[in-house]
Amino acid sequence: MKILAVAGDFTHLLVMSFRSMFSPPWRWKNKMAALYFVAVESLPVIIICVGFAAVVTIIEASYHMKIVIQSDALVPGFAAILILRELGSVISSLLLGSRVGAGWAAEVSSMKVTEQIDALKLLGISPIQYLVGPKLLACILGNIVLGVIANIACLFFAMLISVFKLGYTSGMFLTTMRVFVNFQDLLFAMIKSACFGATIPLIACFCGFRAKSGADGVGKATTDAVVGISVAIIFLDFILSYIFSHFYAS
Amino acid sequence: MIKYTNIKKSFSGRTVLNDISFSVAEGEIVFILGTSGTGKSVLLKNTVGLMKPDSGEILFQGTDIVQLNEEQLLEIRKQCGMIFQHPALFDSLTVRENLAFGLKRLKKLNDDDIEQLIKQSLEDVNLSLDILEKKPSEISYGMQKRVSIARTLAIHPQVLLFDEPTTGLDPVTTTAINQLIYTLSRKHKITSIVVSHDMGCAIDIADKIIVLDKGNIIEQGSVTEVQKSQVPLVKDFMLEVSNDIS
Ligand SMILES: Nc1ncnc2c1ncn2[C@@H]1O[C@H](COP(=O)(O)OP(=O)(O)OP(=O)(O)O)[C@@H](O)[C@H]1O
Ligand SMILES: [Mg+2]
Repeated sequence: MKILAVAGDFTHLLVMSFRSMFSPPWRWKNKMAALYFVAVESLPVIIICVGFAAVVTIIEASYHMKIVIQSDALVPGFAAILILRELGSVISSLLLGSRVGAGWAAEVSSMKVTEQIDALKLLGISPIQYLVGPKLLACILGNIVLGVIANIACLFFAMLISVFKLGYTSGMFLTTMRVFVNFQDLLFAMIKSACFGATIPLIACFCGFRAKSGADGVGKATTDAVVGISVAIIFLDFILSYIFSHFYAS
Repeated sequence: MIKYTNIKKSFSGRTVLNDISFSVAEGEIVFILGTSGTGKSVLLKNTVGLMKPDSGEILFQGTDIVQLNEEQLLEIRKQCGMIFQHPALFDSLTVRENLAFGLKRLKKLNDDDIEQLIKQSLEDVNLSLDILEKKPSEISYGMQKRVSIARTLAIHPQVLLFDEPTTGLDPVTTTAINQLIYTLSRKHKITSIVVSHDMGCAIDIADKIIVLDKGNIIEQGSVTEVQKSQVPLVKDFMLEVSNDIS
């Protein structure tokens, strides 16, 4: 019963948030501020982390392939597929989720416990329209851009480590990569990023709106949001990967 | 103007308001007193539809607000100002933006008029204009509380709901704010419901006093009636006042 009520509330938030993205007032200032917070401020940490993930992937894959088939010639191709289909968007979204999601959950929940949300309602302003709409737009757009940049950074670091550690030339890396991946992979990666991006503000604000009073209410909302976002991203990744797998040329 | 009938509200099985009935006439000042946690804030929030009672009726100028949806509530809320127990200022906005926020939203005014109203409302709560560009976190709690009162007064609502407006304020400002509530009621016929712990203020300016305990009204009436009350908790509240004076 309670689960149904929670699911109903979440669906309401989801529908109203998407509606608010396409209806005035536009509040461009809020949207730009959210976009800056999402895309620009998260960029350095995402590049650093996906870079290391790429390096580890290449080294591990090379090590295992050498053991099994005594050659790591296919590593650049395998790594590129793995990066585009999984690593780039999932890792960057998980990082974004914990950084931005925690911030927003704390912001909204402290607004809730200090009655700022009530004050908004009293002024005739929908908290969803005012708080969630701009974040949703910023996070969808921001995460698509971040996803693309993360993928490029990932591939770049993969190439660097292949050149310096495995002894390939950059030309060899790119040629092998091109055999394995195509534009469709990038497109699917962008769709994934958009979906993951949408879950972040929705779950963060949902937990924030439900916060109980007091400082521990804010703490719990923030923790719930980060856990919820991470689980949702991994679960959505499974669903989307499964759907996309029907489109991959076999 | 506002009539509460058999209001009941409970949270996860725990009754907070138990069969509350009373009415507030236009221009009246009603004080609601009671110990902490008796449901005073919950009662105020029910008045503007921020919470819904489990049962009962709240007539606002003849309309039962319990039945209204968010959109229909807008019309009611436009006539009501509520000063929350927390200052509830928007953290991301400056004091000036906080004050202008509701004015821009609810009144179609030009910038000069807004500026005028902002200055006037800050003066009403004894604040100087040099805090206008500060963020709420950069001013003291008492100042935040006063800005929050100014924000609501600037809109000139017909009904004012105060949730402990003077708790945490200095005596001079407390007196000024009570005086303001009195003037608004007598000069502009503004109806006020004031939740407070301060029986002294209630005796000074209230038309009617309601004492809540554990979700029930244990005493209500005019100041003289309440002063004569034999209910132990009400007598304790009265004792506080006479101790303060002596
Ligand atoms: N949203 C809520 N969910 C669950 N319980 C709540 C909620 N709001 C209030 N309560 C409970 O209702 C009771 C009354 O709360 P309320 O805030 O109205 O008290 P109060 O009389 O205003 O007290 P105080 O003088 O301390 O402000 C409290 O026990 C509180 O825990
Ligand atoms: Mg209260």
